[in-house]
Amino acid sequence: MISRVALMRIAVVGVSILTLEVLCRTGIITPQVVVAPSIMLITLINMIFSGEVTTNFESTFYSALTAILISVVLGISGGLLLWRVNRLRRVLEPVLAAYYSVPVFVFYPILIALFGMNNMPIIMIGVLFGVVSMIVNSLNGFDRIPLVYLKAAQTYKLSAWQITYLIRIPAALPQMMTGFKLTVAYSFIGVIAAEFILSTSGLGYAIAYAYNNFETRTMYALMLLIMIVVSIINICLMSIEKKLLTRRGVI
Amino acid sequence: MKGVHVAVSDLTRTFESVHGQNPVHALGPVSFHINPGEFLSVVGPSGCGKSTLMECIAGLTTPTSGRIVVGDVTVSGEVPSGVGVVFQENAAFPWLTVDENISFGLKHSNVTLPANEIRNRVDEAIELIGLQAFKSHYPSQLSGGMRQRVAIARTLVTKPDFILMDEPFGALDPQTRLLMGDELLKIWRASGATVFLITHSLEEAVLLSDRVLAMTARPGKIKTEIKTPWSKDRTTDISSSPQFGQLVSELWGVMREESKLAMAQSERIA
Repeated sequence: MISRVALMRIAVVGVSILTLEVLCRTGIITPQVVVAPSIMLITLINMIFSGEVTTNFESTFYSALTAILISVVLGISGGLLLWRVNRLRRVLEPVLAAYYSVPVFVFYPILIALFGMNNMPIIMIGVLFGVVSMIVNSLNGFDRIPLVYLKAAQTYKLSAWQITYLIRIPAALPQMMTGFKLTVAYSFIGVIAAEFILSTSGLGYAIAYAYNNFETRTMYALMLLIMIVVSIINICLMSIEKKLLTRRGVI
Repeated sequence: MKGVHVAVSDLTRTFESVHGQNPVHALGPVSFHINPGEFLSVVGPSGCGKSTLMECIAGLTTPTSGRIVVGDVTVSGEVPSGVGVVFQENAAFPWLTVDENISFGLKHSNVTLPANEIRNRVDEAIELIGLQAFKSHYPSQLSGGMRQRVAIARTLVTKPDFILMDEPFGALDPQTRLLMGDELLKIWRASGATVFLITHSLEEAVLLSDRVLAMTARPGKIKTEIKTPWSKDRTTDISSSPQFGQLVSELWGVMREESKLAMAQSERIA
């Protein structure tokens, strides 16, 4: 059963979309500014079936997924390293805490100089956006592991490596999942934003291209596509997280 | 096994000072032994170093001085083989099911067992603790008593010949405690293992053990030793015998002063 609040929430979104539709259809908002939601959807469906978006879609997803993967691996190992080497942690912790107040995006020219005009700088921007949340949350997770799990591990004579992947990582999983959700969101933001300015493919590039050529319909259709895809990913992640937390008895 | 199973001699443990406070002399010196197959309990006021004592014997903490021999191995820096530990806190891994928790130690031990041997032992252990219906449940879905049974089963499947338990029933209500005590006696008889049990319940200690060591307030030393007259096939029914009441009050007579002292100590800290 859907709760009353959830129904209200759906209603708010529905009414907003409907209002926009009416405003556009009646000409109060001109199609040069915003096109009607129904037109966005129809354009998007046509673009999907004509295969127009396929290449850009694949390119963005390839970059984002690579960025997420790198962020997760670097984030967990970075978290472990900082957790192990306390001195390094004390040095870096304030930097990590302040990290998201720095507009790392400004470093894109350096990345182009380093990696050239291909999708590497884009992936790297995605990593720069995503990795720190993974580090910080893994670290937080490792901090909270009850000592008794590690004592139990000692009685089973596990090796240091086994303790890491059999005890520490699963024990820290709920916090890591929080980090992962943010990493996914940040990496997508980084990748799409980077595509706006330094790419010749990808959804970000396609939006910028449509914008520059006054193809308002295409532009909004692509925005809608991104919204839909990211929402689906978020719903999946949240349901996984919920399952995880329920199993742990946290919620 | 010949002679003694566990020998503790002149064991002390001092915790170094933190933030300029004085170092804390937590334990000792204590010396005692445990015979093979014996059920030995340790009681003592809170803060007397009981848990530290257990961790030293289990090789989880290094003593400041003294020597511990388990079987024919001197304990130093690692858990001796054949030793199983049941902890005070809920140590069942929350990311594993009951079944996975119990098989954990067998799957990841350095002695590789055939899969069907692991299966048999785990099934046997689950049956013993009566959680067949909860095999694929996660610890969060179980009651405190069930969780503690999982922790006990997890230790038992490795077939330890020396089981150390730190306040294993501490979080349970008195009735469940009694039932679990009976279970523990059954397990002890069936396995022939030596048991070292820490408890703050004098009744529990007297009820279950062959011998009870009573400790002083910090730094914990052995104040007295009480031998119980129970036969090996005892159950918690003996709690209605006059001998039981007599032993408990005898033990309390010894402990009263120490408990007062421990209370004063904790008030000074607070």
